[in-house]
Amino acid sequence: MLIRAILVCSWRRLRPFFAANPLVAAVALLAAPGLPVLAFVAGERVAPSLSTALLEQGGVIEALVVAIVINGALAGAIVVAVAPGADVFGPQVSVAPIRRMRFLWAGAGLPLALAALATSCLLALVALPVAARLPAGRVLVLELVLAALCASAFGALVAESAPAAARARPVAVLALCLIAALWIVGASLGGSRVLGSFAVVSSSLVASPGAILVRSAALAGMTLAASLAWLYLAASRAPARYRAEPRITWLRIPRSLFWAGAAVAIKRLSRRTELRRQIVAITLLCILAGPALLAFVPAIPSLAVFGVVSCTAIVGVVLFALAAAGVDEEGRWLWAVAPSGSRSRPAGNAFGAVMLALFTFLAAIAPSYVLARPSPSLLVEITGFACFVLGVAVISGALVPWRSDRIVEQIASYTACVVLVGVLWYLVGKVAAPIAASGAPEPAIFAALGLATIAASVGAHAALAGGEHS
Amino acid sequence: MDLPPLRLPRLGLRKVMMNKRLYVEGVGKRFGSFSAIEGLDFSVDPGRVVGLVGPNGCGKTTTLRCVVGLLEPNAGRIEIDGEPVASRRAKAGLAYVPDYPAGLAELTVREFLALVRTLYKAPASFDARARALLNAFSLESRHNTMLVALSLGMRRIVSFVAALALLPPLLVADEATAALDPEAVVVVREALLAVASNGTGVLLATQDLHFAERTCDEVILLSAGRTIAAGSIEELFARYGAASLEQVFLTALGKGAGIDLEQVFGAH
Repeated sequence: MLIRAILVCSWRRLRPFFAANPLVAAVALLAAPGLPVLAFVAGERVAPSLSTALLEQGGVIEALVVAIVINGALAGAIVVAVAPGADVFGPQVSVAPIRRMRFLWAGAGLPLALAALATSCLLALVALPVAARLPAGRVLVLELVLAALCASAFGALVAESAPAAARARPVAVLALCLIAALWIVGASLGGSRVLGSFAVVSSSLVASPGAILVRSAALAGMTLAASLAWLYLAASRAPARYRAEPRITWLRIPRSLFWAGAAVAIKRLSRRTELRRQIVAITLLCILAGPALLAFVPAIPSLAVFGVVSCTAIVGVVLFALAAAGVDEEGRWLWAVAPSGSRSRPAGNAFGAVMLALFTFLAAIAPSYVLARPSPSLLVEITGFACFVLGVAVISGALVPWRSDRIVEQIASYTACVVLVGVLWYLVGKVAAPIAASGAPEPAIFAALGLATIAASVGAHAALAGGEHS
Repeated sequence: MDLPPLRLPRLGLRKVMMNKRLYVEGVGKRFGSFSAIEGLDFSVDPGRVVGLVGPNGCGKTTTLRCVVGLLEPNAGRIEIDGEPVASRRAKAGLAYVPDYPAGLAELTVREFLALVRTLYKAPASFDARARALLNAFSLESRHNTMLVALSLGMRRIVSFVAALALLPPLLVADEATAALDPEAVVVVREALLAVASNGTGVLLATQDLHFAERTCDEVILLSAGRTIAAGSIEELFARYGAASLEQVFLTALGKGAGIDLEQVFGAH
């Protein structure tokens, strides 16, 4: 009954949206069956070079596992930290004599599980052509996908239990201790302090299918246990509490509409409890993980560490750009009745969100950059790519707004962002290849791409949001 | 017994420079097959306070949302001094207090007021009026508090402060007294009468008939999206032979008899 209620409500909210935006509906209908094909083609494209690198270059498998673990954990932490809790059905229904676990499962757990299943299928399709070229064979895909799922479940559990443990909830402290114990046991079995429970995955390239199946079963068990523990903790999650007075008030609301929009976006995104935790978590994870990898896993090239940390930071900060339109929508009544320009304020809003995300990104990668010492041109390229992703996230957030209290809209918004980034990156590649071949320096191409995407996203957001309210 | 009038501090009120008239003619709004309002005709002249009253779901909020441009009517026209309400010139002469001030909850009171000032390009006198109004509502110590940390009543007061400080030619307030404490209701009433006496036209919707009786120059009674009675308080009293707006309300709606509670809950 609860699941049906969520599905009916989601469908009734999305139906008029798709009716009003037939272009988005058409793209969604085309993208849904096209995504698996795209994933398989992408796997086929990278398979020859990646399989060769995995077999011949030391440290690449560790870097791959680190990337899977960190980004899986981060994705899990982000999604559940901002997902609505058991009170998603509203205060009146939430006090009904039904276990809170059932509310949470219907309101957030099941949609998230379905989204995780879909993502796993796509990951498997990308990994399949690569695994087919390795000694372990296609069965390796199972272990890699389960490693990603397990990392996501661990990330979700840590994100849920850390704030609860800070409030001295014994069960949350117990969950954290359990994760630490699993990590230590895994580290001693796999021989890597940093990779912990996932260390065994890095030796899977030459493992027998039987051994891989045993490890996969262990990963599946850990995933299930962590997911159930998350459900239990999230069902009793305390509602988000806000400080009465914010710490930072020095950023005044300017008289210019554009800058007022930017200042309001920065204030609102950074003051929302779930998003502020996000800022702190991303920055801390990147600041700690990068130097830790460089210090304790010398097998991984320092450039790979910088790349992993940069990817992690982009995955983490993209939510600020994605959420800009959804958060802005909550003030619709004021924007709609005010006599101000319908374009400059939403443009400022998008610009502020991108700037907050970009600042967090640069702060997060700074320690790894200093320690790994990559060339400045690589920093320019990665920052340009980050700007591209953030700009596309602003556009996808304006097309399919991210809503803090609605899990289906959140998943739809994440999906729209991934699809748009993939499609536009493919198109950019087609356009940029001849430019690069003509001798243009790559950092300049990336810098121009980043700036152009931000400018285009600010303009597109202003057109979409401004047009809606005019 | 009526409360003594509360003296508002100096609000820096001046005569509204451009008096504007709200004109609503034949307005209807449908949501699918449901007709929320139909054939509404009324106007709000400068300096007049007009109240929309009626049972829940009769179309008061829909009417106000059409008037401020949040909803587009399916029929009829709404103009402010000849300008369609969707135009920027019309919006510049209109301030709105919503029934539920959702969103923007992460801004402090001061930041929210600064944002409204920016959006409406209000002059510097806005700040002085806003400060005076915050004092009048005893909210001066909360200027650095985030809206999310305020009670619903306090957030509605902040909305009132922002709208009143603009000193607009037309002020639209939905559920004018909802969630407000008795003292705040008195301050709101005095503030509305003060701005009206300076030339602002006020259109409000309320379920508080006592408040409407004491505040409004004219009352429009809605039922099922249609006007069933309209006029000044005195005219309505005379027409229905009533001594209070509550009597007018119940008589006009034919709901004086009440409900058979025994039939609903069964005999004890």
